[in-house]
Amino acid sequence: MAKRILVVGGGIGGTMTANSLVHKLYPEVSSGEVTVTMLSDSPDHYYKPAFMYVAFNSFSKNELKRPQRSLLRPEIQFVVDKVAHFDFAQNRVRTQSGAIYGYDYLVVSTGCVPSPERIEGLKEAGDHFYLHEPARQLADRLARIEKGRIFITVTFPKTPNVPHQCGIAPIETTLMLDEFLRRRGVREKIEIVYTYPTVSQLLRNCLFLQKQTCEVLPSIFESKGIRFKRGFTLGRVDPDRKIAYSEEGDEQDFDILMSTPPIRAVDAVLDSGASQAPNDEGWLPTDRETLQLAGHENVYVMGDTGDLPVSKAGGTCHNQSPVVVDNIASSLRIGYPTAAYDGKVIAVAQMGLEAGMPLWYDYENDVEPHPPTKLGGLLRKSVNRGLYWAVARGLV
Amino acid sequence: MTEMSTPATPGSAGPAAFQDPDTQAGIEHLAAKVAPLLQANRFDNVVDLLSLVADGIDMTDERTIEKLMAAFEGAMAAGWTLGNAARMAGSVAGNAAEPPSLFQLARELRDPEVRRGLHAAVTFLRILGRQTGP
Repeated sequence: MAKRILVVGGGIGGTMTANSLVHKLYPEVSSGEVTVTMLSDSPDHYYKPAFMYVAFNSFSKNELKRPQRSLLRPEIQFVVDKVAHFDFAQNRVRTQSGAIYGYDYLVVSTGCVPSPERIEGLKEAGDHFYLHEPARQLADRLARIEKGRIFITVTFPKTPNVPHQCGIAPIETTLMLDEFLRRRGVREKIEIVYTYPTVSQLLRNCLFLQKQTCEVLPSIFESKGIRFKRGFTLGRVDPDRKIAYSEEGDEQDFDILMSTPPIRAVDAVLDSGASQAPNDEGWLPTDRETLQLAGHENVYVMGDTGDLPVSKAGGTCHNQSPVVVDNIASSLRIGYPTAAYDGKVIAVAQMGLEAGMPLWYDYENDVEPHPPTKLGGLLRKSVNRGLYWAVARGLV
Repeated sequence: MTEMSTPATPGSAGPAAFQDPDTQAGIEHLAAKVAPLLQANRFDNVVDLLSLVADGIDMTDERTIEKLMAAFEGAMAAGWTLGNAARMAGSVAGNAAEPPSLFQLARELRDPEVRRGLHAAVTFLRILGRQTGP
């Protein structure tokens, strides 16, 4: 009987991994010894990291969408059906339609869910850019605001040493916001306040989740007239009075509350019982090197779904994917996994509307910030406008 | 945004490296090789080319990138689709113990994916005809 590899999740992690599995295991796939199946809840693939550009009216939804089938190698069986239940003990999943899919190897790449409703008043009064519809709403507000105060908050998961979604995004969007308002000619009448919580993974009272970057941020913000505030952990929001209250006892008014909201795993992962993460966040306990789910050697966890201390971002999946592929291939061929993930994350940060800064870090080494450049910006724009789709196909 | 970092400075190994006799010999060799080119003004075009590249970068904007990347994605996606079809078709045909009979081939036409592929091929030819017509 053929060995069955099941990839759950049609985001960037699942897509590039499914394609790379077919490439890596092509002799076995073409002879029918191995099958690769992808389950996704959508027939379309969205370039989710670019939703932050939607907030500045730089992209429309259709520009960020491709048919999922067009991104997959034809050897992959693609099924549009949402996973309703993971049964890790029995090596099978059940979908919303009631179908059961057994597997010999499973890749869980189901992403995470922005959950502003987990903070009182945030869903009603706050804005964010991690999904398309909220990003559209934020875009409309940013395009119309003439004066007032834009207050920026960042919320980390309660699970120790797990970051929020896309670590650099709050800085990127703060700098983009500054330039966007300058272009509109209203910047002088609008105060921008960037805040960061007291606890950010292993750091305390910083402005970013890595120390070196944290130390250079004040001079950048000061040069642009952006106010910043440490130790503001968003506790609740009063939508009527438009006041954000911190767990530290502070209260701040706003006209627009641009937040990085709480996040959690998808329902099926939450309900699987495999996670011990506090606050019902659902992060799957993941081996930091092999990327296997704790207690289940044939299950691999990628990207946002795991409990690793690295960014929940596509640039993380890009470096985890080859490890997952190598480990499944070597397990099939020689009986044990051979590759180890070193925590590497590579990305190109958007530093304002034009400049970009390539960055990389791993478990041992933090980002070393360097001056953003126009070339870096053009590289990021190239990723946004075309290279991403080559990455999804596993070509880059 | 130069305030983001301190400009890179040569490490302490820099001056020591220049004092290394082998390094000095290498630099002298390079200088000797480059000297005739310098004397004959052969770097003028290289400098002009660098200037042209810098001009190109300065002139490139979001709209330029959008057009270039649309062309890239179009070519990449077309090559990917055709390459996939050729690879998988070759594999399936190569794995068959015996070539299918004509009757078996005709039965393939009942497969909706085959009909969709034929439809795409015929449509491709029609559009090719439109674009090459008067």
